Amino acid sequence: MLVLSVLLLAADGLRQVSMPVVAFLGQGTPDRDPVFQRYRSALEAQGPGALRLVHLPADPATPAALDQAVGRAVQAGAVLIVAPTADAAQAVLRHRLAPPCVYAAFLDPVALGLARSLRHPGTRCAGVSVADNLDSKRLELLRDAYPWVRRVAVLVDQDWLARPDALAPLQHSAGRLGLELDLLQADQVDALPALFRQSAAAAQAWYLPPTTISYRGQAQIAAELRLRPLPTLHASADELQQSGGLALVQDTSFAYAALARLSLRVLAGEPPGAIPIQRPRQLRICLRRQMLPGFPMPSSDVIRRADCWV
Amino acid sequence: MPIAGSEPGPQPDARNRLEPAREPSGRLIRRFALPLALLSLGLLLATGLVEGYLAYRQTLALLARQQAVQAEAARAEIEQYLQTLETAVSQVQRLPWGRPGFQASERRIELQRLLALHPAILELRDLDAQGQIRLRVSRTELDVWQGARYSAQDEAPPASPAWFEEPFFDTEGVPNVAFHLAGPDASGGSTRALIHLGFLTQMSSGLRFAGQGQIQVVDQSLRLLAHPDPTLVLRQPRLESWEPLRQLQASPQGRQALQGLNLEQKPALISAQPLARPPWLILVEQPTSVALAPAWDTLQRLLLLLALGALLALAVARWAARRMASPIAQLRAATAQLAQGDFDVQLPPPGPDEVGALAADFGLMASQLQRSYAELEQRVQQRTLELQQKRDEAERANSAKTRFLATASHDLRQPMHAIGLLVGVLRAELPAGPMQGLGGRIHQAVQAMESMFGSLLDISKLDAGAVQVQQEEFALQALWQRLDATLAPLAAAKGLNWTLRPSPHWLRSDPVLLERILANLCSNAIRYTDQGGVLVAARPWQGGLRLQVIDSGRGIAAADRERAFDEFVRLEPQGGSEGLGLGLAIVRRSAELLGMRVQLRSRPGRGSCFELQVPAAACLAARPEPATDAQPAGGLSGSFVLVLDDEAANREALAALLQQWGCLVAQAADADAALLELDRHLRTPDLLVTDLRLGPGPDGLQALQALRERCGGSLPALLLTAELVSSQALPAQVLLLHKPAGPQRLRAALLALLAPQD
Repeated sequence: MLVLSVLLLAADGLRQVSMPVVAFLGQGTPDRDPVFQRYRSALEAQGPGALRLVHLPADPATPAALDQAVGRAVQAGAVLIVAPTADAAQAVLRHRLAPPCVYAAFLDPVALGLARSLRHPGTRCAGVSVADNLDSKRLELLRDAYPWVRRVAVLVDQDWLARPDALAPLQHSAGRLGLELDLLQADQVDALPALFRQSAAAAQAWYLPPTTISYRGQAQIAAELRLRPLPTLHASADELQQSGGLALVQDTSFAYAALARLSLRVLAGEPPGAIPIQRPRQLRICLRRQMLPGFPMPSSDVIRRADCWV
Repeated sequence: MPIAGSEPGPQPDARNRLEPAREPSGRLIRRFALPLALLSLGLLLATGLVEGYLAYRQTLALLARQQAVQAEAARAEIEQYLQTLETAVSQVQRLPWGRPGFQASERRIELQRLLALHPAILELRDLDAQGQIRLRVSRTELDVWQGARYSAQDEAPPASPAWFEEPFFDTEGVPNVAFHLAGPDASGGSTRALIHLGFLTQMSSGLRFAGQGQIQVVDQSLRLLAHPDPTLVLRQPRLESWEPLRQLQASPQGRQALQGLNLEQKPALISAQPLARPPWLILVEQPTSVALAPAWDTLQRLLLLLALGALLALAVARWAARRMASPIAQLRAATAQLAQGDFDVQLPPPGPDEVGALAADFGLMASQLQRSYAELEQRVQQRTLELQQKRDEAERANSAKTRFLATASHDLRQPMHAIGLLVGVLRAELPAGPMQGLGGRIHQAVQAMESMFGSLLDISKLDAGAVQVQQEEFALQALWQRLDATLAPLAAAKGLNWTLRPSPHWLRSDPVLLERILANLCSNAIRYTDQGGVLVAARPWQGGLRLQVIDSGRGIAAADRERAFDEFVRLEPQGGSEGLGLGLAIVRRSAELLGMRVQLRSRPGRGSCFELQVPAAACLAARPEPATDAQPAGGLSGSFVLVLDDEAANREALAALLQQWGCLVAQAADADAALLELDRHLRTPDLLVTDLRLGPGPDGLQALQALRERCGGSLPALLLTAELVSSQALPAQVLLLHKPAGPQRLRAALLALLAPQD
């Protein structure tokens, strides 16, 4: 029995050693990284696989930290790197010896150099893009939900402003909708309270496009909005959950399953550069079941159009 | 089962064994069981293959029906969904637009509601009769509607008023299709709905069946519109060269199921169902490994059953063949055993069939064989016993004869020897006249008896193997001289010519034995020749010599030439010749001892030629002639002879004869008396004549030894005995003479002993 146990352990050890290593560039610890948890669940839902998933934390805002994490992944002998952000994917592409990667990009992967085109990426990375160009439609929804709104404060950051398809179309749409925009730029979370105090007087509504600052300063923004409840249009259901208003969101629920499937396909030997980049197929209008105090109710038309409740 | 009624047979004898038969090249099991098993296996295999093929075909047909049903279900679902969209749009179209409360803004709201209700709709356009947009409601773009501060964007009217437009792929590669629905009123307006065909992918994913079956949608241009793998749709593969699709397009109503490679290059079972409106094709596929799993399971079970059946067939065939072959094999083993002479065979029990009858007959045959063998063995033993008895009797008779001859010749030799000596003495004392003649006849009779006893003694010695050949080199001429000395007087006495041709040859052989042979032949020649003569010569012959004794005597008939050499055969009528008929027998045996052959040529009345063939190995190169034996001056006169014999008669007779010859004689009965006698004389004896047996004390040779020691030198001795003594065992300067020995021989021997030694 002892010999058998030793043999089984050795076989198991050999199996462990021989299983391919997949590195996930996450944040914090594995049990406190919700993105990692969801990815791992999606991977497990694809069926029992013979691979070893390794969580490598790195500050997504620091390219150097991402580079180091990629280096650690290479040293660990990873055959695949999962990059939950476009910055992480870029760090993988910068590393000459890095293995293929799969990513989820919240910005346009073609503009970031992660792919040559959505149909033919042609790089070492395959992924899904949840990049969003619904700013105009969100303004329209804000207008439809709150017809009396004429002045809208828009929280932007430097990255958003740098996008060629961001400001100009928004301003054009605002003009067509008869809205006046107040662009409020914040690149640090610390600057948000001052920014919100500054906008308190003029804005009649808030529009929070999907930016880095709105993602990182989610909690601070929600607190500020609660202090000064105004009609608010969010770009994600998570933001809506923490404050009032409504949201026009892309259905990104497919992303984790898609990443898991992409991971398995790349591990099976499929060239990542030949896999087209998937995009969300549905848009949802999300509302809170219970409006927070002070937040005005959207119009009944919009309420009737809502297909997502948080 | 041992043979009934048989006794334990005799042990197998090597003489009775036969060579075992070869191992059979073909065994019954191979010849019968194997073909039977192969036939069964072949039948099983054929049945299995046919069953398997039929099951496979049935499975394919069943799968085709199943897939057809699935495809039909998918078609119905897709058509129903499209119909639902049409219905929804139609319902909005039927509202009383233009009336109060049903203005453009309400229309917008309704269209937005449609978007909310039907996620597949990306955009709805309300078009007037000229195709101008009256209202556009979009999920991603700003709505365009009249009645607000927008202006309709001019867009090109659709290329053709087809109910369903040709599907197209947007900038992200997602397939879209638009359908037009004419308005209910006569204004000619219509509604255009842009459908995101991703819903088909969702639907196809939801339409998976059997766990791994999937549904795809292909448009009339063979472009992939929907697939459970959205990335495959985004690739926009060209399907014109996809073989299963081409075949399915060609098949009537796409009902058949094909085996081929799917878009992921994996074997799959594919069937198709056309969609009427729009004219798309719905493909239903299952991986072959899953689709044909039941068939493979059936095949595996079949193969397993086949294998089991084959093993069973082999086992049964082998068992049956063994059952059939076993008694035959036992019979064969029994046959081999019988061939080895072992009759204790195990036969198979007799059965009701032919093999049982064969076993019974075999058993009978084996019993018969065993009995015959036993009888034969018994007879052989009996005959062997008889032969042994006869051989023993013959040996006993031969031994008795030998002992008789030895005993008789020894016991009778003593008195004969004494008679011969006394007759010699008597003749010397008899006066001339008739008494002298009488003495002469007595002397001849005694000589004849001595000759016969000598022959008996010789043949006894030859029978007993006591004669040993003493090889030495000698001149034939010396032997000639001795023969001449002995036999010339005999020939002269009969008035015959005696010719002995001188010979320079030297031989290596036994001179005594050779002299004896030639002496016999010459004496026979003289005896059986009445007139003419006897010639003795040595002629070269094949490297050796032929010693010939030729006479002009009576000759021997051809019929008697061979038996003349037999013992106790006398060719002359009884009483017509002297002797016991042993001479030629002695000659032949002695010649054989010397390695020579005796040949006889003879013609009755013309004489005979006895030829002794001396082989080349016995012939030596010629050498100078040896000196003739020197005779002691004055013969025996004055010699001091000591006579030693325990028989007083012999002793005194011999003493008298010696005294007659002028010898000084001393007598003794034993060794001690001889030593005492020696002390009584001042001179040592010149010669000792002694018998071998001197009673219970030391024998003659021991006495000689003692006397030689006393005399301090060599003392020649003549051993005069009736015993069979080999001359090889004698000490130096001792001559052997067997009793009875006539005075002449006695004198010659004494003279030889007293001759000066070189």
